[in-house]
Amino acid sequence: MSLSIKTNNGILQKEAEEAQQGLSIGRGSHVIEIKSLSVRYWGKPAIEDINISFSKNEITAIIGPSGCGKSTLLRSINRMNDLIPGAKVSGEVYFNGVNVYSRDVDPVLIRSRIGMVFQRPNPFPFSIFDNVAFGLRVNGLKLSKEELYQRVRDALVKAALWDEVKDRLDRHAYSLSGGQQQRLCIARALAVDPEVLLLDEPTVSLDPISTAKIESLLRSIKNEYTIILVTHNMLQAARVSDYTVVMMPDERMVGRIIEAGPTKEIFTNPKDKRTEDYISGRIG
Amino acid sequence: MSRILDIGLKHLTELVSEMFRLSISAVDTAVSGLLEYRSVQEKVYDAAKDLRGLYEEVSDIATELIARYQPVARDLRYIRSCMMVSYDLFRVGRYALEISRSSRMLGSLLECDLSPVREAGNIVREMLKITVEAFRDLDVGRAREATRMDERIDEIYREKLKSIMLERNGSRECDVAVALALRNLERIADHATYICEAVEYIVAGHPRHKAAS
Repeated sequence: MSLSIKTNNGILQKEAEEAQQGLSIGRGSHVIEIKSLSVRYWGKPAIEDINISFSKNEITAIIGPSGCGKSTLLRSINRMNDLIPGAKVSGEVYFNGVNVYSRDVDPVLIRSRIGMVFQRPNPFPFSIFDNVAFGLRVNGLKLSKEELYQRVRDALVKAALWDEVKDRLDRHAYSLSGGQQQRLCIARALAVDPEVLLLDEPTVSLDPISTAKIESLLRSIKNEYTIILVTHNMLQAARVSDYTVVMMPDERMVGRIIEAGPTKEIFTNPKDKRTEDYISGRIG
Repeated sequence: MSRILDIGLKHLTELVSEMFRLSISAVDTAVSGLLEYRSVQEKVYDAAKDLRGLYEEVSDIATELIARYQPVARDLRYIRSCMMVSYDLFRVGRYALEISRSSRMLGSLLECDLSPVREAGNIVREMLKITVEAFRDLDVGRAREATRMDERIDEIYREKLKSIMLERNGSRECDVAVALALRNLERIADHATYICEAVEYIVAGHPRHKAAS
């Protein structure tokens, strides 16, 4: 399913064509294209002049030291920064050719098409079933009881959680382990059938087994979704992603992309010495 | 602040350095023995045996470093190269042993014209010395210098084979002894070339088989 946004004029298409320029990674068509993106918090620049494109059905990892703007970049893609007081975004983020920051674009619709999973599992205080059904209900989808059950089931299967919860869907989400809660959050995001999935350090609070399950899950769903993953764990980026974007703060502590490319290249033969030093543990 | 990985890398470097020392010594001994009609097989055998042991040790440590520290980028390339280089040096030891054996197998070589072996032996020994420096300093320029010397070794070997086929002047024992020695020196030079390619791989990331092209 692709995003359909009604616009009042034809300017957006022109903007989309212009966004073709800039740093491009991946083999397929670009789902997300970012052009000259800068974000400020209360006037202080956090990231500046970001130009990057993300390919369809690829996993792209964004890595870099603390404070380099990884999460800021991620949140800019589905306008989550709108919810942060003092945040000011300039530049363009194109989703399937439409600038998500255009005045006539509904950020709620954007967020339903570009789902997000956060550092810590944040299930709602509902049952397992209702957590996954939440997005479907909120989006006002008219589904029969059977259809709703099917959509919840499909999402839980994709999130590799179905077998563990199928007999207790009415149990409280908090009864699940941390790893299961995080997969529930992924199921909740997948239930509304997004095209892009943003993950902000999704395994930072999980044990190694749960982390491995999430990583396997990401690989198993990549053919259906475009996945952008922020991680502090460089080896996770190396294991999971097809492409890697490296960010680094400049001398003013403003985050910039210093290198991007196939993960194999970044981790075996990076071109930028700062990347080399960072991934080798010499800085950061 | 140094990394835990650095301790392992240092250890690997020391082992590979020891392998360089032993392999150069083995080639020196084997070639001198042949040229001076001395039996040096036992001494070269000991060196070849030690090289085999060190090759296993380098492999073990490299595998452990990869498993425990998941090195990336240049660290990974260096560790991978140490494994490959240690195999090359182990093979150099084996070829040196073959040189030392050939003289014993074929009996007296007093009547043989060993000048091609002398020339090839000198070039190979020089080549190995430059290769050591290239690897130690990760000096691509020196590595390429050593690689270029391989051409002359190939030339000497080909010339000898050609002369054996076309001219029937020398004794069969001499022809076989010289051809075998040159063949082994030619293989040693090839392994030195592989090591030089590893230097390029570590420094620039060019895959070893493409580094020379």
